Amino acid sequence: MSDLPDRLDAAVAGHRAPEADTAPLLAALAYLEPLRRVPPRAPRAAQAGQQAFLAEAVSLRPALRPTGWRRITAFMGHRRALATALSVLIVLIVLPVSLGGTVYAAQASGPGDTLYPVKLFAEDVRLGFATGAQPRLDMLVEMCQARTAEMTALAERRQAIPAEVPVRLQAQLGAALQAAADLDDAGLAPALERMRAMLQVQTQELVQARRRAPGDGGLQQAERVLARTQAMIALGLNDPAQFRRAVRSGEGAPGTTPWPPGGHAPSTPGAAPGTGPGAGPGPQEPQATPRGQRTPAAGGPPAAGAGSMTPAQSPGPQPSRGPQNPDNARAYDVLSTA
Amino acid sequence: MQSDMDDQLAGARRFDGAALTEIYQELSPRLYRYAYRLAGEAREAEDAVAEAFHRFLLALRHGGGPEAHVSAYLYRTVHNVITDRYRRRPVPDMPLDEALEAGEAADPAHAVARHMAAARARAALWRLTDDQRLVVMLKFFEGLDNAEVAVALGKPAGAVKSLQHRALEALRRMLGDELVAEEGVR
Repeated sequence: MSDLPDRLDAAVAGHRAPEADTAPLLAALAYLEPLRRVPPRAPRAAQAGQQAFLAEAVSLRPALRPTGWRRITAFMGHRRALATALSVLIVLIVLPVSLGGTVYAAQASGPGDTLYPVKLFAEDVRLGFATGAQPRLDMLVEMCQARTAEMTALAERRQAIPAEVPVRLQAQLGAALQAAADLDDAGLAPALERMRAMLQVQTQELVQARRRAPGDGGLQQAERVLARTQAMIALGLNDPAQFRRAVRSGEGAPGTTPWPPGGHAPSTPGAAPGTGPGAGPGPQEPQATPRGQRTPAAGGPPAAGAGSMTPAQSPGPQPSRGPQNPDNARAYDVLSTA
Repeated sequence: MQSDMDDQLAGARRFDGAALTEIYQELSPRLYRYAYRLAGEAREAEDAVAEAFHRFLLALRHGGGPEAHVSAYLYRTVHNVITDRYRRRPVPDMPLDEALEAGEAADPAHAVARHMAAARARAALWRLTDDQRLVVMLKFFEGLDNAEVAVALGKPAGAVKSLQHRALEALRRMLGDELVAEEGVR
């Protein structure tokens, strides 16, 4: 009968009277009844057993409650794979945190400081993660401001400007122009206006800094780079298409051959030709050649950084020179006076 | 009652001395009786209980052990300890002097008869399968309900009734003539 296990179970529990088919089974169970009686346990043995059990528990307790790293690994038990994963996770957390602390500390450093290369490296990393022309442009403008601030701070302390600072400024301004050229027409003009405003402020700061350090070549070079960039901005505001062609061909980079290719130079309200010392190689700056090589300008030694040109310094195809559009004449003047 | 055991188990996982003491004092007498019925020897029973609690501590140390039903877990552990031990050698017959409890010396014939009956019952019990033996012991002697026995078995509760049925059928078959004779005596 299919319900026999259930009826037997009820009968064993005393909830059901024995039946014909369950009675023999209950009798078999009763055969075990002599085992029910168990001699009393020896109290001494019971006490010894309890003491041994508790003593072992105490000996095992420290292994269960270790501190620090052992606590973590003990928590993970024998799951070695999980423990390894936890270790990797901790490294992945601790490493960025420590690196982040170093990078954060490096933000206050200046040229010549131990952490300054870290600061520059962090800038490059940030730029590498920037997606889109506008974020990249904003980042580059911020970095250019940092370069200017570094140079003015050095000038205030009457310290020479290391050559790497204006060189990096030049490269970053060139990259900023590239980013601006990647913007659409609606975004280009506002972006260039912001750049121009920023450059005007920076130019003023550099002019004041040069009063404290009149003979500093780095400051002079930086001022020239700013002036060239302002001329390119003026072109962008006047003729975006030509600006883009010039920037993308490399002709408009702040440290390269003077604008304009084909003899066109912009004339834009707000462009400030003649406000700076003039673009182009000065007495101490090497002159760019059409092949991207630099030769020392006559009358002076090569400027620091000569021979190690950044991409922004590499000139594009040599344009024909001279203004063909009178509207562009003022910008051309700025660049060609160098 | 179960919530008390759950609290004790939580304390035991922290290796709290009070919780471990409560568990030992509450369960070790029952485990001893269980072991004694199977082994028929006080020393073997004490060893089995000690081994079961030792394994319990090691399991807790490594984050294992029972999630609940500590008693079922420990019954099963004692059962395994004794089964493993007597798998390699025959179940010993209870020494007669041990069978004679205090106060029974005056009636040695009765004591011997009881001793013999227990030995026969134990021998029959050991002829069951491990699971059948566990079910019969836990239900008939320890009074555990089917849910607790199922935990000890590591099987669904429905399997307990079937195992119990098969165990008693097996006993009935192996004891056949003897049972008939006993019925006749009664």
